[in-house]
Amino acid sequence: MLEKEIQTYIQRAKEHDPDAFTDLMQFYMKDMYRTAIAILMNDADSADAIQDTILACWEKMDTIREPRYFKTWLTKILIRKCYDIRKQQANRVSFEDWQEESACDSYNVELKEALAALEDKYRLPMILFYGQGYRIREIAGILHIPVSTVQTRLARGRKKLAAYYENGGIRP
Amino acid sequence: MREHRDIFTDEIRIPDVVLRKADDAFARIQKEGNLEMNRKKEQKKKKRRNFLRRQTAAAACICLLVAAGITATAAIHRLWSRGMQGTVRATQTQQQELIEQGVATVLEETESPENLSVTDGAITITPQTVIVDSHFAHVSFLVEGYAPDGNVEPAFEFTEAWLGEDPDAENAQASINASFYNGIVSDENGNPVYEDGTALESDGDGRLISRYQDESGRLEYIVSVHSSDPQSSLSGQTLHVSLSNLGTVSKAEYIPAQEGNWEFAIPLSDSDSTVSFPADSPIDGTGFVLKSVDLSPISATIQYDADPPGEIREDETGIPHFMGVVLEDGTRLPYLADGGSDRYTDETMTSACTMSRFDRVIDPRAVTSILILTEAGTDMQEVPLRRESVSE
Repeated sequence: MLEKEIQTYIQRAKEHDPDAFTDLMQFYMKDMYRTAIAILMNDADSADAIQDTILACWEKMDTIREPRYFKTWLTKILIRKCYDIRKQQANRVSFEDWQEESACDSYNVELKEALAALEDKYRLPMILFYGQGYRIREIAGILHIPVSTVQTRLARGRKKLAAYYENGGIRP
Repeated sequence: MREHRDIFTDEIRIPDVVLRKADDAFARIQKEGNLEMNRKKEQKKKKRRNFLRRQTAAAACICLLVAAGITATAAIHRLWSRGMQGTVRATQTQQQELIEQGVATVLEETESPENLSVTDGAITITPQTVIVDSHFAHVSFLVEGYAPDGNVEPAFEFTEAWLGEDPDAENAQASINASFYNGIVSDENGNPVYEDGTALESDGDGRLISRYQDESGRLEYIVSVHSSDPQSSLSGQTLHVSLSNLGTVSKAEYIPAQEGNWEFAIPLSDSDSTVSFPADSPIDGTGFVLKSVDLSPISATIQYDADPPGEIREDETGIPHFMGVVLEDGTRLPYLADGGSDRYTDETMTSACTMSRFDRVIDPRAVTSILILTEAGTDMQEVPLRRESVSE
């Protein structure tokens, strides 16, 4: 979808056109999934977070003032929904149980294993920067952390990923 | 050679469970249509209003206080909290003046200060001092009932802040910086020292000794909020702050200690002491022309035109950095800026804006020049401001 097309879809979605909104969300579905999996590390919870995000975005579409920031807005809502689910998970199961759940997922195993090689705090900046093309300043804004912290996490994340591959795809 | 990080852009297959849940959502959207969505919106608003009413009487109490802070003109006010004094340094006279102007509010100045507190388990958190202008707000929270031993950094596991009543609204999310006040401030030369002016010390392991606790063993948490959109303003809005779980951090790893949740709704004053200086000053060695400077006691907002259009390289915007000010008595404050943002404000990248918060209070009416840095390693440029065209 071209940038101009996206802007048209956003405008129509703002006017509560369900078809335009559905097309728009489907266009961003893979990016949403990559973001959600980086935080939640399992498909079932990622599905819940994406569903909540779709419904929340539909409700709030008319609050968008600057269509060019639509994706950033969508990503912020998704991250917020993911952390809400993580908070609920933390109250229900131990951290170990929660991580083990990800091993049951059979989709995109290579991506999940690479993400699992990274500590929690490196995953999201790496996915947003390398997977979705966000700039460092945008990531700092999305995650509410200083630019220097994003730079550090990207640098360390790269090193850890390289170490993981050098080790034959086995977590050190 | 294929890069390892290509794994993040490689084609992926959306799992069936994700597709199924997304399709459910789309079906609901199609079926229910606008009417149902609007009904849900109202229900949610109602639910949220009820939730806010349950949050002790903090919000109402703070409203009362903000109003009191604005209308009281002759009273001697309490000083700002310890952490706020360290975050935004000010003389006692400046603190009183900002309270008089409504820019700062000391929330303890109330008939029922206990109503401001939220207690969960053994931990009580009380908002203390609020300072706000159009683009920046600082709120300090006194934390009682938790005092980690040793030279460790206390931390909340989650800190969330949003503006208005709807956390999912596009303009609800502001940038936040939040941390426990550690007793370390910057001196006039930008060097870190303890708040009493003494030099920093290290422990036996070579780690910097922080002074998180006050003389009574209490902690103070500082939440700073920044609206990076020059067209929007924090003034007069309600700031919601949600703090969850307390522990410590070591090498960025969170170590839990106490579970809990503390929520606050804090109306921000709509008073603003910003002074505007129109300008038309080229910045040497760049294509930028300074067009306007808005100075408040706690921040600067600067607008530039760029010809030729600006260019973003790697992560550098090329926009000149605001560093500090020169006052009419000759005082130079070259390390005044303490974080903020810069951005191009149009798609052609011919207009730009920087917003910087200060590490200390200034009197904007006493500023004669601003100090600008165009490139790391070069000297700062002093750009005089046209005082005859000042507007308040």
